[in-house]
Amino acid sequence: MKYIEDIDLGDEFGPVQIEVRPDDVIDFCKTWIRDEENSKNIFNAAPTRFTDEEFAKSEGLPGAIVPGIMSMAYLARLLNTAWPDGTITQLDVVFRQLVLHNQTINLVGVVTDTVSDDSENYIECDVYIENNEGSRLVGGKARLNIPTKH
Amino acid sequence: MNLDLHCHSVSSDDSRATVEQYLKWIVSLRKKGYIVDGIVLTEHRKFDIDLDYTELSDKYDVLVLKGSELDTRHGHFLVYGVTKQMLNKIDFGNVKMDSIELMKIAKESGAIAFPAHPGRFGIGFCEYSDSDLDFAQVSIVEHLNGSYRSGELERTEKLISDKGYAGTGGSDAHFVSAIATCLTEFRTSIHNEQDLVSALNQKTFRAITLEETRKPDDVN
Repeated sequence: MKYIEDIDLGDEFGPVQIEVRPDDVIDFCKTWIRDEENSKNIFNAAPTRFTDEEFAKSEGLPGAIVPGIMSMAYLARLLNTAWPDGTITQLDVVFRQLVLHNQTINLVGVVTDTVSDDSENYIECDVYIENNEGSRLVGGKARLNIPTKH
Repeated sequence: MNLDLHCHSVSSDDSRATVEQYLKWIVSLRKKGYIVDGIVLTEHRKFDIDLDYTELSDKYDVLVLKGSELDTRHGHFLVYGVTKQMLNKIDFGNVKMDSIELMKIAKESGAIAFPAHPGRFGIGFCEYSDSDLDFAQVSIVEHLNGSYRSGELERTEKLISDKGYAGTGGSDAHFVSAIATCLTEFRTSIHNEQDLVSALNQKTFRAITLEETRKPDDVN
């Protein structure tokens, strides 16, 4: 278990490398696109910018893209991998460039603050989705509650 | 003296870093041997003349100055030494302002304005520098920018080489850990915005990366 007392500002975590496969994006969309009120999955096979290369190009995009919420899920995976005993309480992201299908991405993060007192124990981190050239496609700020030894 | 001339705090809508978090990070960089003396906040399309960072600056011993990054019809421009006179003459929120007029008013007001990340595709000065417009007032551009994408630094360096411009450096940080990745090294001491404008006008500076600031003893 990782404790707040063992974490320092500047600690880096990752990279987690992911190959963005179209089938994975489609699977994500099948889970994500739901009628929550009736608890039904309402995904249909009609092409969207997230699932179909040609449809995305018809909308002026360079190709099919990963939904923003899936990019956030990737970043949540990074945080859960690095801090399995932590609890994500905030993940606030800025989408700067498109995340395309069939692209290798790297998830990386760094601790930017640690707070430990009588009432709370948490860390703040910067998290990024980078492409293979190191260009940051998505950036985010996360806060996680972390266990204490005390 | 090493200053990051381009960064955004939460006052800009696309940033997630507070000024205090930037300063804490700079203190941690100093512990690792890097020499970072200060930052200039260049919030998007705004300038709050009443905001005072003296207390934070004193607490962390990091110089904090204010500028702005404006959208113009010829790309983004950095502005330093903003005065009340300038604020009365220019609508900072006007995303289609004329950069030539901006540079002229800035100069008349004791400020200075020049292109930010000129090599950036779509919103950089490179897109306009070879047009028929008279950009004779441009003598400085931002050279190193921490947010450049593939190919953008090369475009910037070609522009600088072709036109003979001086170049500054700034991180363009929107997140804490990106602060001070690129900086401007000045040969003179800078204590306030007027000193900064003076040093820029004298062109006594060069763009550097954070790694270049490291004390020799700390290099492994």
